[in-house]
Formats: sequence, C-alpha cells, structure tokens
Amino acid sequence: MNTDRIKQRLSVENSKKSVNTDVFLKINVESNERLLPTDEINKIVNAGDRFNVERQRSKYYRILGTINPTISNALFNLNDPLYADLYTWAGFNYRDPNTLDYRFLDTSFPKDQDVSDLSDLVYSQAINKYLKERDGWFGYYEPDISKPSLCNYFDMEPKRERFSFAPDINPFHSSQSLPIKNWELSITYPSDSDTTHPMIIGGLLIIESIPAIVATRSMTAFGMSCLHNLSVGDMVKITGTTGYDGEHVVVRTGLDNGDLKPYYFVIDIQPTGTTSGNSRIKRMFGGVESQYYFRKFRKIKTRNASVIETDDYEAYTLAFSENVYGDEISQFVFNEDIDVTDLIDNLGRPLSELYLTIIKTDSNGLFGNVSSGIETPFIPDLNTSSTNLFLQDIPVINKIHNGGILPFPSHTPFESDITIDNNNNIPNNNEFYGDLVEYNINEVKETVLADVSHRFNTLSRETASSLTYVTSLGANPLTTTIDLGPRQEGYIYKPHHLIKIREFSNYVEQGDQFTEGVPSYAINLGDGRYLWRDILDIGFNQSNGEVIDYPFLNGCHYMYDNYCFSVRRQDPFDNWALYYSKFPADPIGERMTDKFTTNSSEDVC
Amino acid sequence: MFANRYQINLSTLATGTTATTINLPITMEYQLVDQSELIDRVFVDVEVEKAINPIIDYEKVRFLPLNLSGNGLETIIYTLDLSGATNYGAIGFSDDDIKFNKENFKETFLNLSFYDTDNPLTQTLISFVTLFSEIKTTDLLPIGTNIGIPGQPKPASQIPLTYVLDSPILKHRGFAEGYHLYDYKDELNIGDFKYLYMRGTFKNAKTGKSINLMVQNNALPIDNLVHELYTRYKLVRTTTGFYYEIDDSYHGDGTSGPNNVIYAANTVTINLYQIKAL
Repeated sequence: MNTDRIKQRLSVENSKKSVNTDVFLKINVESNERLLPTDEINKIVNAGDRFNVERQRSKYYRILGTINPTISNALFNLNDPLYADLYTWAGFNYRDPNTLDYRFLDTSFPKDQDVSDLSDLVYSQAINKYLKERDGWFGYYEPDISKPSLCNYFDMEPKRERFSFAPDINPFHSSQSLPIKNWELSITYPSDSDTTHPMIIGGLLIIESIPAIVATRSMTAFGMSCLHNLSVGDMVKITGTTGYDGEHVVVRTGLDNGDLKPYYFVIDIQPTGTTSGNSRIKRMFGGVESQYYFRKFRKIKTRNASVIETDDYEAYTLAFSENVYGDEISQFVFNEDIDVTDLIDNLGRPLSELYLTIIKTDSNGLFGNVSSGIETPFIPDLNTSSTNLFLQDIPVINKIHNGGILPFPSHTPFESDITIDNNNNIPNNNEFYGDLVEYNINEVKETVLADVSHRFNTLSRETASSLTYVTSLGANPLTTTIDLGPRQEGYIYKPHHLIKIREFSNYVEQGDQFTEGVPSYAINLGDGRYLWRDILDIGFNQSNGEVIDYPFLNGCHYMYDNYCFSVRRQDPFDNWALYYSKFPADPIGERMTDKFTTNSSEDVC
Repeated sequence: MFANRYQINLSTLATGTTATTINLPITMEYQLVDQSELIDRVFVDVEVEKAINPIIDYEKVRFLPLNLSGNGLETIIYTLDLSGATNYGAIGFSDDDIKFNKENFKETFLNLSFYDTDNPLTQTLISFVTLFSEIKTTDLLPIGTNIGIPGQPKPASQIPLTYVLDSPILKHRGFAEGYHLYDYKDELNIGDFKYLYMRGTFKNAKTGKSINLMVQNNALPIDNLVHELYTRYKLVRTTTGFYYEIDDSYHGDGTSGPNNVIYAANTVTINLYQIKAL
C-alpha cells in the first residue's frame, strides 16, 4: 500500500512577522490500489445438487390419492314415514294407505290387495324371501313381477350413494337439491396434546389384573386398553394399586394362551393385589418415566389461506375402477398447495407428519352425530363398565353410543359432535383428537399406542319406531306390534391417515450449551445436557428402515398414496352388547375362522 | 479501497466564522489481494443463480363451468349450422353411416381451439378440445314409434349437428370430454381472471372437408368477419375454486349485446356457423 504524506509548513516559519493562521487543505482520499485480476473462474452447476437444494428448500406440498373403500349398509334404517318406508325394515310390511297394496306381502298375480292367499307372505317370510345381501350391501330385488324393473336391485337405506366420496346427486329425502358431500376431507398435523384425559393422567389406566402362570409360577398379568409398548425385560412402574405398586420387570407379554400380547404384560408378583380406577402404569426407560398424551390434529394452512377449507379439494370416482366388493374407488386432489412453512408439531419440532383427515357428514340429515374414541381389542372386562365406572373414562369406540344408559351406559367420547368446521360445536375449532402416544425424553421419540376412531349411526336407527306387522295370513290378518328400535350399534372408521413427509434420525444426539447446531426443539434435560434427533433430508437413506422419498416438481412435493378405507360395524359379533338381537334382528357377522393357530405363549425359562 | 467523496458548500457554514474545522477521518482498510472470496460471493454466486432456470409451475387445474347465476352448469351444447345444414343427413351422411356407427361418422368431430387473444397476429394456441360425433339417447327412436325399430338410431336427417357435454357428476352417463377446461394453476391468484378465445372447426370425415366456424349466421365483409370468429371464455379463480363462464355478450369488434351464447337454467348453448364472407 502506498501512502502519500502531506506536509504543511506553518506560517510562523516564513518570517519573523508572520503568524500562524488557519489553513485549509483539500484532501482527496483516493486509493491508487488496483485489484489483481483473478484467474479465469469456472463454475459447474450440478443439476442433481441443484435439484436437491430446491427440493429440501421447498415447503409446499400437493396432496392427492386414491381411496379404496370397503363399506356395508348392514345397519339399515328402521322406517321412513315420509317416503312410504322405502328401503327400511318397516318397508317389508308396508301397505299403501290409498291403493291398499301390500308392497311385499301380497304375492298374488295380479295383486289383489290382501294377504289372504296361501301364496301371500307374512312379515317374517317377506324378510326371509326378499332381503338380500350382495357384496355387503343389503337390499332387495323389485318384488312386483309386473314391473319392468323386475331385476333392479334396491339398496336399503343408507344406500351406497350415501357413503360415496363423490357428491351424492340424489340426496336422502331431497332429490331436487344440489349434490351433497358424504365425507369431508382435510389435511391436518399434530399441533397440540391433551395430557389431562382420565385415561392417561398419571400414566396409562389399568383395566384389570388377573392371575397368570409363567413356567408353573404364579404371577400377575395386567390388561391395558391400548398398546402397552412393553417388551420382556422392560421396567414398568405401577401406581395406584393395592399390592402391586413399585417398579417391576416385565417377564412376559400376553395372556397364558399367547393372546393379546400388545395389551397384556406380566410381572413376577403374586396375584394377591387389586386394581382400581387410580391404577396406572408408566414405562421406564433409562430411569425416566414415559409420558402419555393424546395428540390433537389441527387443520393445516395453505398457500392462500391460514386454514385449509372444505372447497380446497375435489373428489371423484375413478372410471371403470372398483374393488372386489363392487365399491367404487375414488380419487381426491387438493387444489390448494399445503404450506408447512414455520409450522411445528406438538413437541415444537418441524413437521414430519401430515394426516389425511376424513370426516363423515350427515348426508342431508340421514346420519346423526359423529363421536370419537379409540379402538381396542375385545377385552371382556370392558363390558363391566356399568359397575366399574372408571372404565367409562376409556373412550372405547365400540362402547360409545347415543342411548344414554341403554343398553348400557355409554363410555365418554373425546368429541361427541365432530364436524369439519367448528368441531364439537366450538366456534373456529379446527382441532381433532388424533391418537394416543407414549413419549420418553430419553428416547426423544413418540410411539403411537392407539389410533382415534369415529363412530356414527343413522338417525332412524336411534329413534323408537313402532311397527304393527302381519303375523298370519287371512282376510283379517293377525298382527303384532313391536318397536323396531332404537338400535345403538353404529358404524366406525379410522379418520386420520398418515402422510409421512420427513423422518427423524435413528440416533439420539446429545450436546450442551457449547455444542454447535443444537436445534430449537432439543430437549433440555435440566442438567446441562440437551437431547434431540436430527431431522433427515428428504430422500436420505438411513440404511435401516424405509426411506422417505417422494416426487418433487413444479416447486412442490407431490404426496400420492392409496388409502384403504373401511367403514365397519361397532359390534357385528355381539361382543360389546350393542348388537340388536330382537326380531327383526340386525344381520349377524360371519366370522372368518383361523386355518392356523399362530399364538404362542413365551417360555421365559 | 473505496473512498467517499464529500463536497462541502461554504454557504452552509456559519457566516463570518473562521477556523471552522471538519473532522475528516482517514482510515485505511486492510484488504486481501484479489478478494477471491468477495468475487465468489457477490459476483460468481449471483451470476450462477441467474443462470439457473427459475422453477416454473406446470401444474394444471380443472375449471368448472358456471351459469350466469354462479351455479354449476349441467349441460353445454355446441350447435352447428353449416350454411343451413343442421343435421347429419344434410352434410352427406346416410342412415347406415349412423346406424352402423361407421368410421366416417365416429371420426367426424368438432375441434375447439383456445387462444390467449383474439388478435390473430399475436395469439398463441393454449389448448384445444376435440368433440367426436356419437349417438345420444335423444338420437334413438323412442318406444312406440311407428317408423323404424325402437332403440335404433333415427334417420341421419333427424339427428342434429349438436355436441352435448354433460357434467360428469350430475349426469355421469353423459359425455363429459370438454365439459371442463384445464389451465395453469399459478397464472391466476384468488380474485383474478383471464380470457380464452375459442375458435371452432368442423372436420367432416364423410366428405373430407374441414369447415371453419364463426359466431354470426350471416355473410360478412372480411374486415368484419375477423371480429366474429371467437367465443370468449372467462376463467376465474375465487376463494372456492377454479371456474369458467362463457361470455354471452362478447363481440370481437367491441360492441355489446347478445351473441351466439344462450343460457338457460342449467344449460348453455353455443351456436357456431360456417364462415361466410362477402
């Protein structure tokens, strides 16, 4: 660097008469340095790297998928006074008040408007003859042989159109109105948690304790209403019991015959104690108790709106596409881009999971309210909730109904009126109960113990419906009056379907305040240590496990999947005391028998 | 080294003031020779970024047709008038061509070309729709007919030159190809709209003729004719989705009034005519 020095001679030095005066100099601050030219610069842009950069940077998701439904209308309506009892139980006994024509009972040709002929039918015979089931859909063929629609098959109500994912163009009781959606779709993410529910506060609620025999030794098995997530050798802390409290080693899972391994565990203690509504368990990991809570799923934001809306998607049936039961396969496309920017989950982490949330509508007043609970395997002790009242706090989806205390006191649901907007009658409530998880800060990982299910029923089935039906033939046929309902068994389905968008590392990282790169969501253990799992790049292969990898184009991630969607009965095998067995009884389920027995008790010796 | 130049106007100094001083800091900044890091950061990286193609969104969405009340349309009908010929018999088809569904009938089609402007000098073809001829239920002889066999096609002279597009949801047995329009998703924000201009061409596979269509049913001087070729479609995006309307008052010459588009309750009819010039 070259610096010019500036000298100024003071005036007093000029002569002896001179004095110093102010002097002003113009100083031009200018550099005479010049940069040396750099060498020729070549930069190679790697298309693959560039793609990856843009892919990892993008926060927008476009979601579409195919829904393969398996649905049945085994629980059909009792009557329909407004529409001549069409497609209902009462319809098989219907007589037109004007023409006096029996729809099913009078089999004479031509019809003679009575049931005095030997060939005519009584109500029970008409049901046996005409009520058919085709691929799970109950209905009947046209009973009047003089009509050209003789071979037409009519579904009982609710018809399959009431379950279709495409809009219903002839809605229930309103054929002239606009098409109506039977289901609402949305995209949600885990945003919050409920840590105060009676089932999980202080630990997982124990259903029962029963004796167990392990290698001829008498021990105690504990039954849970959700997965216990315990393995042989794990430590479990039991509280609120008489005789079992303390930390114990799990010596076996499942019952003596090997059943229900994920729901029962055995500890080496004599079965002399008792459990109650305060009895809880907590899994121990590294000396730390697990936490249990219900995750709540919130409707996500889009590129254009803070909350995804019900008109942000289209659903339509796929041409020429149906499953083996003849149910139409549908497809959906969200037209609005999902935006996960700045969103964090219930643990403060960047989003790694989205959920396709499906909510049943009332299909123009055909169906009643939608409730939520968890699905559990059949454990007989849950049927004692009428006396063991604490069991009613477990929202077993098979034990939830709208009958109050009949046929038994309903278990308490999470939500009792689920709707896509203003859920559970709370204005602007966009949260839904999603699942039950276990979380241990030493593992920094959530494990799902139970999924939330939804339950609904038709309004007709839950209403008392008197019917006077023909019991014997004749000019003045004998009749009997019964009540067809109410029938509290409804339908259940799984509403939240996982869309995995990111994966956390298999390795738990540990650091302290001096560690570089501690993420904001790291867990502070309180002793200066922080624990976390890194969130992996999209497409990163951990070499053990499934790689989260999905298409990226147009600046967005495309999430496509096939969703098998089953709508099932609450109690098809009469396990849960919801099955209606009085005449005319609901169809009973047909069990699939096991060809092979796969259960085996664990030999711990 | 970067130097700042300052110019100080004497008039800004207090009048008569002498010995005014100005603090002039003279600092030297240490700089690396050739500053390759700086060049990489502020020049090379920027230039590289410029050289990379921007992300273009090729995603298309489906636009649903609306009627004048903003409700969904059930049916869209394209009706042709080829110099007075309004049925298949009048344009050369025999009854057997229809009855046996011959190739010349099946391959006769109406082509709708959608442009971004009605100016032929600058327009770009955005998309096109091909509507093939088919026998509709209304083209069949009804039960109880005295002539012919019920269920078989009517004579060619009784089958109109119309192309009926039905909503696949409301009339899922109908023909829905062309009922929806498709366009790029990112070109419309909520509240925005754009126009597409449709020009029709009828391809007659029986005669091999291709007939261009216009929207007026009378011969026009060529200067006027060029303004009567297009039907305008308005594509809109609202908070509830993507829709389009067919403009029933558009005229290429800027005038207004009824045109070739006629709305009924749930139906819209677009009349297209063979080009005739004076």
